[in-house]
Amino acid sequence: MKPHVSEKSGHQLTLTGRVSQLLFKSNFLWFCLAWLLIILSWELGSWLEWLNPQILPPPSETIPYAFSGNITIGFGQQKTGLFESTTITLGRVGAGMLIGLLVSSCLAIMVIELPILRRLILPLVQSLAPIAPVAWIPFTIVVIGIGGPAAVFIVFMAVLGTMTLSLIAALDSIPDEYLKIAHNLGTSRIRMWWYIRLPAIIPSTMTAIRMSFFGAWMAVLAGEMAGLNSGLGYMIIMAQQMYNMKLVMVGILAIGFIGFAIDRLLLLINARLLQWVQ
Amino acid sequence: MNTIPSSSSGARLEFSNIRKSFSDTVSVEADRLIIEPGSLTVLLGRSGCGKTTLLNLAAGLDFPDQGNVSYDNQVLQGPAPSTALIFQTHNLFPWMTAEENVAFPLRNQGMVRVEALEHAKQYLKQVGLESFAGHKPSQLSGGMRQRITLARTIATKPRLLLLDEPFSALDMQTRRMMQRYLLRVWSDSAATILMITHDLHEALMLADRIALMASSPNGHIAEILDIELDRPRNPENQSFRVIQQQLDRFLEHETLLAEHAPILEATDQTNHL
Repeated sequence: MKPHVSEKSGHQLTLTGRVSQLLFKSNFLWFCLAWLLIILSWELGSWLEWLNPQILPPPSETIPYAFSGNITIGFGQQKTGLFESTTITLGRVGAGMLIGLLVSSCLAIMVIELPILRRLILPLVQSLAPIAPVAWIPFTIVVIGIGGPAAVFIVFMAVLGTMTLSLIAALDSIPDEYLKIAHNLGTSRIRMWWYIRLPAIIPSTMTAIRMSFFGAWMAVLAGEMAGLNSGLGYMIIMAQQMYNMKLVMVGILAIGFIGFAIDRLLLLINARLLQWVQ
Repeated sequence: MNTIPSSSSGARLEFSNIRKSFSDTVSVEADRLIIEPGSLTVLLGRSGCGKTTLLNLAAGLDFPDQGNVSYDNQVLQGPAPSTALIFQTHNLFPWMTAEENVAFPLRNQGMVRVEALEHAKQYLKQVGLESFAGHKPSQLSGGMRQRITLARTIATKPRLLLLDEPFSALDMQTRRMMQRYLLRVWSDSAATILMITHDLHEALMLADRIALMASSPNGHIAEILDIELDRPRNPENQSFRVIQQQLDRFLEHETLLAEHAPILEATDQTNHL
Protein backbone atom coordinates (compact mmCIF):
# COMPACT_ATOMS: atom_id res chain seq x y z
CA MET A 1 0.00 0.00 0.00
CA LYS A 2 2.74 2.41 0.91
CA PRO A 3 4.26 2.68 -2.53
CA HIS A 4 0.76 3.23 -3.94
CA VAL A 5 0.13 6.14 -1.52
CA SER A 6 3.44 7.74 -2.23
CA GLU A 7 2.81 7.30 -5.96
CA LYS A 8 -0.56 9.04 -5.62
CA SER A 9 0.80 11.87 -3.49
CA GLY A 10 3.66 12.22 -5.95
CA HIS A 11 1.13 12.59 -8.76
CA GLN A 12 -0.83 15.15 -6.73
CA LEU A 13 2.37 17.04 -6.02
CA THR A 14 3.16 17.10 -9.71
CA LEU A 15 -0.27 18.54 -10.45
CA THR A 16 0.10 21.12 -7.69
CA GLY A 17 3.54 21.91 -8.97
CA ARG A 18 2.19 22.39 -12.45
CA VAL A 19 -0.58 24.68 -11.23
CA SER A 20 1.79 26.74 -9.10
CA GLN A 21 4.24 26.87 -11.99
CA LEU A 22 1.44 28.13 -14.24
CA LEU A 23 0.34 30.65 -11.65
CA PHE A 24 3.71 32.02 -10.65
CA LYS A 25 5.80 31.62 -13.77
CA SER A 26 3.41 32.26 -16.63
CA ASN A 27 3.67 35.90 -17.61
CA PHE A 28 0.57 35.49 -19.75
CA LEU A 29 -1.55 34.49 -16.76
CA TRP A 30 -0.31 37.48 -14.76
CA PHE A 31 -1.02 39.70 -17.74
CA CYS A 32 -4.62 38.38 -17.93
CA LEU A 33 -5.06 38.72 -14.17
CA ALA A 34 -3.88 42.35 -14.15
CA TRP A 35 -6.28 43.27 -16.95
CA LEU A 36 -9.14 41.36 -15.36
CA LEU A 37 -8.69 43.43 -12.18
CA ILE A 38 -8.70 46.68 -14.17
CA ILE A 39 -11.81 45.65 -16.14
CA LEU A 40 -13.63 44.58 -12.97
CA SER A 41 -12.75 47.86 -11.19
CA TRP A 42 -13.83 49.83 -14.25
CA GLU A 43 -17.16 47.96 -14.44
CA LEU A 44 -17.69 48.33 -10.69
CA GLY A 45 -16.93 52.07 -10.93
CA SER A 46 -19.57 52.48 -13.64
CA TRP A 47 -22.11 50.31 -11.76
CA LEU A 48 -21.64 52.36 -8.56
CA GLU A 49 -21.88 55.52 -10.73
CA TRP A 50 -18.42 56.72 -9.67
CA LEU A 51 -17.54 56.91 -13.37
CA ASN A 52 -19.74 58.71 -15.88
CA PRO A 53 -20.74 56.09 -18.52
CA GLN A 54 -21.19 58.88 -21.08
CA ILE A 55 -17.50 59.77 -20.75
CA LEU A 56 -16.12 56.35 -19.83
CA PRO A 57 -18.45 53.62 -21.13
CA PRO A 58 -18.23 50.45 -18.99
CA PRO A 59 -16.43 47.31 -20.25
CA SER A 60 -19.81 45.54 -20.64
CA GLU A 61 -20.49 47.99 -23.51
CA THR A 62 -16.93 48.69 -24.75
CA ILE A 63 -15.75 45.08 -25.09
CA PRO A 64 -18.73 43.80 -27.15
CA TYR A 65 -18.36 46.95 -29.27
CA ALA A 66 -14.65 46.17 -29.82
CA PHE A 67 -15.54 42.72 -31.15
CA SER A 68 -18.60 43.79 -33.15
CA GLY A 69 -16.49 43.79 -36.29
CA ASN A 70 -18.00 46.97 -37.68
CA ILE A 71 -16.04 49.74 -36.04
CA THR A 72 -15.91 52.75 -38.30
CA ILE A 73 -16.07 56.49 -37.85
CA GLY A 74 -16.43 59.54 -40.07
CA PHE A 75 -18.12 60.16 -43.36
CA GLY A 76 -17.11 60.11 -46.99
CA GLN A 77 -13.37 60.34 -47.60
CA GLN A 78 -12.73 60.83 -43.89
CA LYS A 79 -14.35 57.52 -42.99
CA THR A 80 -11.99 55.11 -41.31
CA GLY A 81 -12.14 51.87 -39.34
CA LEU A 82 -10.19 50.26 -36.52
CA PHE A 83 -8.56 47.58 -38.66
CA GLU A 84 -7.69 49.99 -41.48
CA SER A 85 -6.27 52.59 -39.05
CA THR A 86 -4.22 49.99 -37.20
CA THR A 87 -2.77 48.65 -40.46
CA ILE A 88 -1.83 52.16 -41.60
CA THR A 89 -0.15 53.01 -38.28
CA LEU A 90 1.75 49.70 -38.14
CA GLY A 91 2.88 50.17 -41.75
CA ARG A 92 4.21 53.64 -40.93
CA VAL A 93 6.08 52.42 -37.85
CA GLY A 94 7.52 49.48 -39.79
CA ALA A 95 8.63 51.60 -42.74
CA GLY A 96 10.05 54.39 -40.56
CA MET A 97 11.93 51.96 -38.34
CA LEU A 98 13.30 50.02 -41.31
CA ILE A 99 14.56 53.18 -43.02
CA GLY A 100 15.89 54.44 -39.66
CA LEU A 101 17.72 51.15 -39.06
CA LEU A 102 19.21 51.17 -42.58
CA VAL A 103 20.39 54.78 -42.39
CA SER A 104 21.76 54.41 -38.84
CA SER A 105 23.57 51.20 -39.90
CA CYS A 106 25.17 53.06 -42.81
CA LEU A 107 26.23 55.91 -40.50
CA ALA A 108 27.65 53.47 -37.93
CA ILE A 109 29.59 51.59 -40.65
CA MET A 110 30.99 54.88 -41.96
CA VAL A 111 32.07 55.93 -38.47
CA ILE A 112 33.91 52.63 -37.90
CA GLU A 113 35.45 52.36 -41.37
CA LEU A 114 36.47 56.02 -41.70
CA PRO A 115 37.54 57.30 -38.28
CA ILE A 116 37.69 60.89 -39.55
CA LEU A 117 33.90 60.75 -40.08
CA ARG A 118 33.44 59.96 -36.38
CA ARG A 119 34.29 63.59 -35.61
CA LEU A 120 31.77 64.80 -38.18
CA ILE A 121 28.88 62.39 -37.66
CA LEU A 122 28.93 61.86 -33.88
CA PRO A 123 28.26 65.51 -32.87
CA LEU A 124 25.39 65.66 -35.35
CA VAL A 125 23.81 62.44 -34.11
CA GLN A 126 24.38 63.41 -30.48
CA SER A 127 22.49 66.65 -31.17
CA LEU A 128 19.63 64.85 -32.93
CA ALA A 129 19.16 62.08 -30.35
CA PRO A 130 17.83 64.25 -27.47
CA ILE A 131 15.15 65.89 -29.65
CA ALA A 132 11.78 64.46 -28.60
CA PRO A 133 10.08 62.83 -31.61
CA VAL A 134 6.93 64.96 -31.09
CA ALA A 135 9.04 68.08 -31.60
CA TRP A 136 9.40 67.06 -35.26
CA ILE A 137 5.62 67.04 -35.84
CA PRO A 138 5.05 70.77 -36.61
CA PHE A 139 8.13 70.88 -38.82
CA THR A 140 7.09 67.71 -40.67
CA ILE A 141 3.50 68.86 -41.28
CA VAL A 142 4.75 72.16 -42.74
CA VAL A 143 7.51 70.66 -44.88
CA ILE A 144 6.12 67.24 -45.91
CA GLY A 145 2.40 67.56 -45.33
CA ILE A 146 -0.18 65.47 -43.52
CA GLY A 147 0.03 62.16 -45.41
CA GLY A 148 1.81 58.86 -44.87
CA PRO A 149 5.33 60.08 -45.80
CA ALA A 150 5.14 62.66 -43.00
CA ALA A 151 4.32 59.92 -40.46
CA VAL A 152 7.16 57.74 -41.75
CA PHE A 153 9.53 60.72 -41.46
CA ILE A 154 8.50 61.31 -37.82
CA VAL A 155 9.19 57.66 -37.00
CA PHE A 156 12.50 57.86 -38.87
CA MET A 157 13.60 60.91 -36.90
CA ALA A 158 12.44 59.25 -33.67
CA VAL A 159 14.76 56.28 -34.18
CA LEU A 160 17.68 57.74 -36.15
CA GLY A 161 19.65 59.38 -33.32
CA THR A 162 19.25 56.70 -30.68
CA MET A 163 19.76 53.81 -33.12
CA THR A 164 22.93 55.34 -34.57
CA LEU A 165 24.38 56.02 -31.13
CA SER A 166 23.45 52.51 -29.94
CA LEU A 167 25.01 50.88 -33.01
CA ILE A 168 28.24 52.89 -32.71
CA ALA A 169 28.47 52.08 -28.98
CA ALA A 170 27.84 48.38 -29.70
CA LEU A 171 30.49 48.30 -32.43
CA ASP A 172 32.99 50.10 -30.19
CA SER A 173 32.46 47.61 -27.39
CA ILE A 174 33.15 44.44 -29.40
CA PRO A 175 36.00 42.71 -27.52
CA ASP A 176 39.27 43.57 -29.20
CA GLU A 177 40.29 39.91 -29.17
CA TYR A 178 37.52 38.95 -31.63
CA LEU A 179 38.69 41.52 -34.14
CA LYS A 180 42.38 40.69 -33.68
CA ILE A 181 41.72 36.96 -34.11
CA ALA A 182 39.41 37.45 -37.11
CA HIS A 183 42.00 39.74 -38.67
CA ASN A 184 44.64 37.16 -38.01
CA LEU A 185 42.54 34.40 -39.55
CA GLY A 186 42.60 36.27 -42.83
CA THR A 187 39.05 37.64 -42.67
CA SER A 188 38.22 40.06 -45.46
CA ARG A 189 36.62 43.41 -44.71
CA ILE A 190 33.17 42.29 -45.88
CA ARG A 191 33.33 38.97 -44.02
CA MET A 192 34.51 40.87 -40.93
CA TRP A 193 31.27 42.87 -41.01
CA TRP A 194 28.98 39.98 -41.86
CA TYR A 195 30.42 37.20 -39.70
CA ILE A 196 32.07 39.03 -36.80
CA ARG A 197 30.81 42.54 -36.19
CA LEU A 198 27.15 41.96 -37.06
CA PRO A 199 26.61 38.88 -34.84
CA ALA A 200 28.67 40.47 -32.06
CA ILE A 201 26.38 43.53 -31.89
CA ILE A 202 23.06 41.70 -32.21
CA PRO A 203 22.37 41.55 -28.42
CA SER A 204 22.70 45.30 -27.88
CA THR A 205 21.09 46.11 -31.24
CA MET A 206 18.00 44.08 -30.40
CA THR A 207 17.65 45.98 -27.11
CA ALA A 208 18.06 49.27 -29.01
CA ILE A 209 15.38 48.20 -31.53
CA ARG A 210 12.96 47.40 -28.70
CA MET A 211 13.57 50.77 -27.05
CA SER A 212 13.31 52.57 -30.39
CA PHE A 213 10.04 50.82 -31.15
CA PHE A 214 8.37 52.38 -28.10
CA GLY A 215 9.62 55.83 -29.15
CA ALA A 216 8.48 55.29 -32.74
CA TRP A 217 5.07 53.91 -31.70
CA MET A 218 4.40 56.91 -29.45
CA ALA A 219 5.73 59.40 -32.01
CA VAL A 220 3.55 58.19 -34.87
CA LEU A 221 0.41 58.18 -32.71
CA ALA A 222 1.19 61.68 -31.48
CA GLY A 223 1.69 62.76 -35.10
CA GLU A 224 -1.61 61.22 -36.18
CA MET A 225 -3.37 62.93 -33.29
CA ALA A 226 -1.71 66.24 -34.04
CA GLY A 227 -2.80 66.56 -37.65
CA LEU A 228 -1.86 63.64 -39.92
CA ASN A 229 -4.92 62.51 -41.85
CA SER A 230 -5.13 58.79 -41.12
CA GLY A 231 -4.04 56.06 -38.69
CA LEU A 232 -4.95 54.92 -35.20
CA GLY A 233 -4.19 58.29 -33.58
CA TYR A 234 -6.34 60.09 -36.16
CA MET A 235 -9.18 57.62 -35.54
CA ILE A 236 -9.09 58.31 -31.78
CA ILE A 237 -9.14 62.10 -32.30
CA MET A 238 -12.03 61.78 -34.76
CA ALA A 239 -13.91 59.54 -32.30
CA GLN A 240 -13.36 62.11 -29.56
CA GLN A 241 -14.61 64.93 -31.80
CA MET A 242 -17.73 62.90 -32.69
CA TYR A 243 -18.16 61.95 -29.04
CA ASN A 244 -17.85 58.19 -29.66
CA MET A 245 -16.15 57.45 -26.34
CA LYS A 246 -16.44 53.69 -26.83
CA LEU A 247 -14.23 53.99 -29.89
CA VAL A 248 -11.81 56.27 -28.01
CA MET A 249 -11.45 53.55 -25.36
CA VAL A 250 -11.14 50.78 -27.98
CA GLY A 251 -8.44 52.82 -29.75
CA ILE A 252 -6.49 53.38 -26.54
CA LEU A 253 -6.71 49.69 -25.62
CA ALA A 254 -5.64 48.72 -29.17
CA ILE A 255 -2.53 50.95 -28.84
CA GLY A 256 -1.61 49.24 -25.58
CA PHE A 257 -2.23 45.68 -26.75
CA ILE A 258 -0.48 46.09 -30.10
CA GLY A 259 2.53 47.74 -28.44
CA PHE A 260 2.66 44.91 -25.90
CA ALA A 261 2.31 42.20 -28.58
CA ILE A 262 5.08 43.67 -30.75
CA ASP A 263 7.38 44.02 -27.76
CA ARG A 264 6.77 40.33 -26.90
CA LEU A 265 7.44 39.41 -30.52
CA LEU A 266 10.74 41.30 -30.46
CA LEU A 267 11.65 39.56 -27.19
CA LEU A 268 10.89 36.19 -28.79
CA ILE A 269 13.06 37.01 -31.83
CA ASN A 270 15.74 38.19 -29.40
CA ALA A 271 15.68 34.88 -27.53
CA ARG A 272 15.86 32.89 -30.79
CA LEU A 273 18.75 34.94 -32.16
CA LEU A 274 20.74 35.04 -28.96
CA GLN A 275 20.89 31.42 -27.91
CA TRP A 276 24.69 31.67 -27.92
CA VAL A 277 24.85 34.39 -25.26
CA GLN A 278 26.27 32.97 -22.03
CA MET B 1 68.52 15.93 -25.29
CA ASN B 2 66.14 18.53 -26.66
CA THR B 3 63.71 17.11 -29.20
CA ILE B 4 63.09 20.28 -31.14
CA PRO B 5 61.10 19.48 -34.26
CA SER B 6 62.16 20.30 -37.76
CA SER B 7 62.41 24.06 -38.13
CA SER B 8 61.75 24.10 -41.84
CA SER B 9 58.25 25.53 -41.66
CA GLY B 10 58.55 27.81 -38.64
CA ALA B 11 58.95 31.55 -39.09
CA ARG B 12 61.97 33.54 -37.87
CA LEU B 13 61.23 36.58 -35.77
CA GLU B 14 63.66 39.31 -34.85
CA PHE B 15 63.19 42.34 -32.62
CA SER B 16 65.86 45.03 -33.17
CA ASN B 17 66.27 48.09 -30.93
CA ILE B 18 62.56 48.14 -30.13
CA ARG B 19 61.03 50.94 -28.11
CA LYS B 20 57.28 51.26 -27.67
CA SER B 21 55.57 53.91 -25.53
CA PHE B 22 51.99 54.60 -24.57
CA SER B 23 51.09 58.16 -23.50
CA ASP B 24 54.69 59.24 -22.72
CA THR B 25 55.34 56.07 -20.70
CA VAL B 26 57.80 53.60 -22.14
CA SER B 27 56.04 50.24 -22.20
CA VAL B 28 58.83 48.05 -23.47
CA GLU B 29 62.38 48.16 -24.80
CA ALA B 30 64.26 45.30 -26.43
CA ASP B 31 67.74 45.69 -27.93
CA ARG B 32 67.81 42.40 -29.74
CA LEU B 33 65.70 39.28 -29.50
CA ILE B 34 65.78 36.56 -32.13
CA ILE B 35 63.13 33.84 -32.13
CA GLU B 36 64.58 31.01 -34.16
CA PRO B 37 62.39 29.04 -36.58
CA GLY B 38 60.65 26.12 -34.90
CA SER B 39 61.58 27.23 -31.39
CA LEU B 40 59.22 27.55 -28.45
CA THR B 41 60.09 30.76 -26.62
CA VAL B 42 58.33 31.87 -23.47
CA LEU B 43 58.16 35.47 -22.27
CA LEU B 44 58.12 35.25 -18.48
CA GLY B 45 57.65 38.20 -16.17
CA ARG B 46 55.34 40.14 -13.87
CA SER B 47 52.29 42.05 -15.08
CA GLY B 48 53.13 45.36 -16.70
CA CYS B 49 56.58 44.46 -17.97
CA GLY B 50 55.52 44.74 -21.62
CA LYS B 51 55.00 41.09 -22.57
CA THR B 52 51.69 41.66 -24.36
CA THR B 53 53.11 44.74 -26.10
CA LEU B 54 55.95 42.59 -27.48
CA LEU B 55 53.41 39.96 -28.62
CA ASN B 56 51.27 42.57 -30.39
CA LEU B 57 54.41 43.86 -32.12
CA ALA B 58 55.25 40.30 -33.19
CA ALA B 59 51.73 39.86 -34.59
CA GLY B 60 52.03 43.09 -36.55
CA LEU B 61 48.94 44.41 -34.78
CA ASP B 62 50.96 47.29 -33.34
CA PHE B 63 54.18 48.97 -34.42
CA PRO B 64 57.23 50.14 -32.48
CA ASP B 65 58.02 53.84 -32.06
CA GLN B 66 61.65 52.97 -32.66
CA GLY B 67 63.40 49.94 -34.15
CA ASN B 68 61.66 47.21 -36.07
CA VAL B 69 60.29 43.68 -35.98
CA SER B 70 61.28 41.33 -38.78
CA TYR B 71 59.42 38.25 -39.90
CA ASP B 72 61.63 35.99 -42.00
CA ASN B 73 64.02 38.95 -42.42
CA GLN B 74 61.20 41.19 -43.74
CA VAL B 75 60.28 44.21 -41.62
CA LEU B 76 56.66 43.87 -40.51
CA GLN B 77 54.43 46.63 -41.82
CA GLY B 78 51.06 44.97 -41.21
CA PRO B 79 49.64 41.81 -39.66
CA ALA B 80 52.24 39.03 -39.68
CA PRO B 81 51.46 36.39 -42.33
CA SER B 82 50.71 32.75 -41.40
CA THR B 83 50.35 33.69 -37.76
CA ALA B 84 47.83 32.39 -35.24
CA LEU B 85 46.90 34.19 -32.03
CA ILE B 86 45.50 32.56 -28.93
CA PHE B 87 44.37 34.62 -25.94
CA GLN B 88 43.25 33.75 -22.44
CA THR B 89 39.58 34.31 -23.37
CA HIS B 90 37.41 35.36 -26.34
CA ASN B 91 39.24 33.03 -28.73
CA LEU B 92 36.12 31.44 -30.17
CA PHE B 93 33.29 33.37 -31.75
CA PRO B 94 30.37 32.54 -29.43
CA TRP B 95 27.72 32.83 -32.16
CA MET B 96 29.35 30.03 -34.18
CA THR B 97 29.32 26.32 -33.36
CA ALA B 98 32.60 24.50 -32.69
CA GLU B 99 32.84 23.28 -36.29
CA GLU B 100 31.91 26.70 -37.71
CA ASN B 101 34.67 28.26 -35.62
CA VAL B 102 37.21 25.79 -36.96
CA ALA B 103 35.88 26.10 -40.52
CA PHE B 104 35.93 29.92 -40.42
CA PRO B 105 39.58 30.42 -41.51
CA LEU B 106 39.11 27.76 -44.20
CA ARG B 107 36.09 29.64 -45.54
CA ASN B 108 38.22 32.83 -45.45
CA GLN B 109 40.63 31.03 -47.76
CA GLY B 110 37.80 30.41 -50.22
CA MET B 111 36.90 26.81 -49.35
CA VAL B 112 33.23 25.97 -49.94
CA ARG B 113 31.12 25.61 -46.80
CA VAL B 114 30.45 21.86 -46.97
CA GLU B 115 34.11 21.05 -47.56
CA ALA B 116 35.27 23.46 -44.83
CA LEU B 117 32.90 21.88 -42.31
CA GLU B 118 34.12 18.42 -43.30
CA HIS B 119 37.72 19.49 -42.74
CA ALA B 120 36.72 21.14 -39.45
CA LYS B 121 35.34 17.82 -38.19
CA GLN B 122 38.70 16.19 -38.93
CA TYR B 123 40.55 18.87 -36.98
CA LEU B 124 38.12 18.53 -34.09
CA LYS B 125 38.81 14.81 -34.11
CA GLN B 126 42.49 15.55 -33.58
CA VAL B 127 41.66 17.26 -30.29
CA GLY B 128 39.09 14.61 -29.34
CA LEU B 129 36.03 16.84 -29.73
CA GLU B 130 34.38 15.64 -32.95
CA SER B 131 31.21 14.75 -31.03
CA PHE B 132 30.87 18.40 -29.93
CA ALA B 133 31.01 19.81 -33.46
CA GLY B 134 27.50 21.26 -33.26
CA HIS B 135 27.90 22.82 -29.81
CA LYS B 136 28.20 26.54 -29.19
CA PRO B 137 31.18 27.66 -27.04
CA SER B 138 28.82 28.60 -24.20
CA GLN B 139 27.85 24.92 -23.95
CA LEU B 140 31.46 23.80 -23.48
CA SER B 141 34.00 23.92 -20.64
CA GLY B 142 37.00 26.25 -20.66
CA GLY B 143 39.37 23.42 -21.52
CA MET B 144 37.18 22.24 -24.41
CA ARG B 145 37.03 25.78 -25.80
CA GLN B 146 40.82 26.06 -25.75
CA ARG B 147 41.08 22.65 -27.47
CA ILE B 148 38.76 23.90 -30.21
CA THR B 149 40.94 27.01 -30.46
CA LEU B 150 43.92 24.70 -30.95
CA ALA B 151 41.99 22.73 -33.59
CA ARG B 152 41.32 25.99 -35.46
CA THR B 153 44.98 26.89 -35.10
CA ILE B 154 45.98 23.57 -36.67
CA ALA B 155 43.52 24.26 -39.50
CA THR B 156 45.27 27.54 -40.36
CA LYS B 157 48.67 25.77 -40.54
CA PRO B 158 50.47 28.75 -38.97
CA ARG B 159 54.21 29.29 -39.20
CA LEU B 160 54.12 31.47 -36.11
CA LEU B 161 51.94 30.85 -33.08
CA LEU B 162 51.51 33.67 -30.57
CA LEU B 163 49.93 32.78 -27.25
CA ASP B 164 48.96 35.31 -24.59
CA GLU B 165 48.50 33.39 -21.32
CA PRO B 166 46.25 30.90 -23.10
CA PHE B 167 45.76 28.53 -20.19
CA SER B 168 45.74 30.86 -17.20
CA ALA B 169 41.93 30.71 -16.82
CA LEU B 170 41.95 26.91 -16.62
CA ASP B 171 42.23 24.64 -13.60
CA MET B 172 45.53 22.91 -12.93
CA GLN B 173 44.61 19.52 -14.45
CA THR B 174 43.12 21.01 -17.62
CA ARG B 175 46.13 23.27 -17.91
CA ARG B 176 48.49 20.26 -17.83
CA MET B 177 46.38 18.54 -20.50
CA MET B 178 46.40 21.67 -22.68
CA GLN B 179 50.17 21.95 -22.34
CA ARG B 180 50.48 18.41 -23.73
CA TYR B 181 48.11 19.29 -26.60
CA LEU B 182 50.19 22.38 -27.36
CA LEU B 183 53.42 20.37 -27.43
CA ARG B 184 51.77 17.90 -29.79
CA VAL B 185 50.64 20.71 -32.12
CA TRP B 186 54.13 22.22 -31.97
CA SER B 187 55.75 18.88 -32.70
CA ASP B 188 53.39 18.13 -35.62
CA SER B 189 53.52 21.57 -37.22
CA ALA B 190 57.11 22.64 -36.42
CA ALA B 191 55.72 26.18 -36.10
CA THR B 192 57.59 28.83 -34.16
CA ILE B 193 55.86 29.55 -30.87
CA LEU B 194 56.10 32.71 -28.79
CA MET B 195 54.13 32.41 -25.59
CA ILE B 196 53.43 34.63 -22.61
CA THR B 197 52.92 33.11 -19.19
CA HIS B 198 53.12 34.05 -15.52
CA ASP B 199 53.38 30.42 -14.59
CA LEU B 200 56.96 29.43 -13.95
CA HIS B 201 56.17 25.71 -13.98
CA GLU B 202 54.36 26.06 -17.33
CA ALA B 203 57.29 27.97 -18.79
CA LEU B 204 59.71 25.23 -17.78
CA MET B 205 57.48 22.42 -19.00
CA LEU B 206 57.14 23.96 -22.46
CA ALA B 207 59.95 26.30 -23.40
CA ASP B 208 63.25 25.63 -25.03
CA ARG B 209 64.04 29.31 -24.42
CA ILE B 210 62.79 31.66 -21.73
CA ALA B 211 63.09 35.43 -22.05
CA LEU B 212 62.89 36.86 -18.55
CA MET B 213 61.28 40.27 -18.56
CA ALA B 214 61.78 42.95 -15.95
CA SER B 215 59.63 46.01 -15.42
CA SER B 216 62.07 48.47 -13.90
CA PRO B 217 62.92 51.12 -14.96
CA ASN B 218 61.06 50.27 -18.21
CA GLY B 219 59.82 46.92 -19.48
CA HIS B 220 62.81 45.09 -20.94
CA ILE B 221 64.30 41.65 -21.48
CA ALA B 222 66.60 41.08 -18.54
CA GLU B 223 67.94 37.66 -19.49
CA ILE B 224 67.48 34.87 -21.99
CA LEU B 225 67.82 31.29 -20.78
CA ASP B 226 68.18 28.26 -23.02
CA ILE B 227 66.33 25.39 -21.38
CA GLU B 228 68.21 22.28 -22.32
CA LEU B 229 66.07 19.72 -20.56
CA ASP B 230 64.97 16.40 -22.03
CA ARG B 231 61.36 16.01 -23.19
CA PRO B 232 58.97 14.94 -21.84
CA ARG B 233 60.04 17.02 -18.89
CA ASN B 234 59.87 15.83 -15.34
CA PRO B 235 59.36 18.43 -12.59
CA GLU B 236 61.02 16.02 -10.15
CA ASN B 237 64.23 16.14 -12.17
CA GLN B 238 67.14 17.84 -10.35
CA SER B 239 68.03 20.07 -13.32
CA PHE B 240 64.39 21.13 -13.64
CA ARG B 241 64.36 22.13 -9.96
CA VAL B 242 67.60 24.07 -10.21
CA ILE B 243 66.33 26.16 -13.11
CA GLN B 244 62.98 26.58 -11.36
CA GLN B 245 64.74 27.97 -8.27
CA GLN B 246 66.80 30.30 -10.43
CA LEU B 247 63.66 31.63 -12.15
CA ASP B 248 61.84 31.83 -8.85
CA ARG B 249 64.62 34.00 -7.41
CA PHE B 250 64.40 36.31 -10.42
CA LEU B 251 60.62 36.70 -10.09
CA GLU B 252 60.90 37.20 -6.32
CA HIS B 253 63.48 39.93 -6.87
CA GLU B 254 61.17 41.57 -9.43
CA THR B 255 58.28 41.43 -6.97
CA LEU B 256 60.39 43.02 -4.23
CA LEU B 257 61.49 45.75 -6.61
CA ALA B 258 57.88 46.47 -7.52
CA GLU B 259 56.81 46.52 -3.87
CA HIS B 260 59.58 48.94 -2.91
CA ALA B 261 59.60 50.96 -6.09
CA PRO B 262 58.31 54.17 -4.42
CA ILE B 263 60.96 53.85 -1.67
CA LEU B 264 63.69 53.19 -4.22
CA GLU B 265 62.57 56.16 -6.29
CA ALA B 266 62.60 58.34 -3.18
CA THR B 267 66.07 57.05 -2.27
CA ASP B 268 67.26 57.79 -5.80
CA GLN B 269 66.03 61.36 -5.53
CA THR B 270 67.74 61.77 -2.12
CA ASN B 271 71.02 60.46 -3.56
CA HIS B 272 70.78 62.90 -6.43
CA LEU B 273 70.31 65.75 -3.98
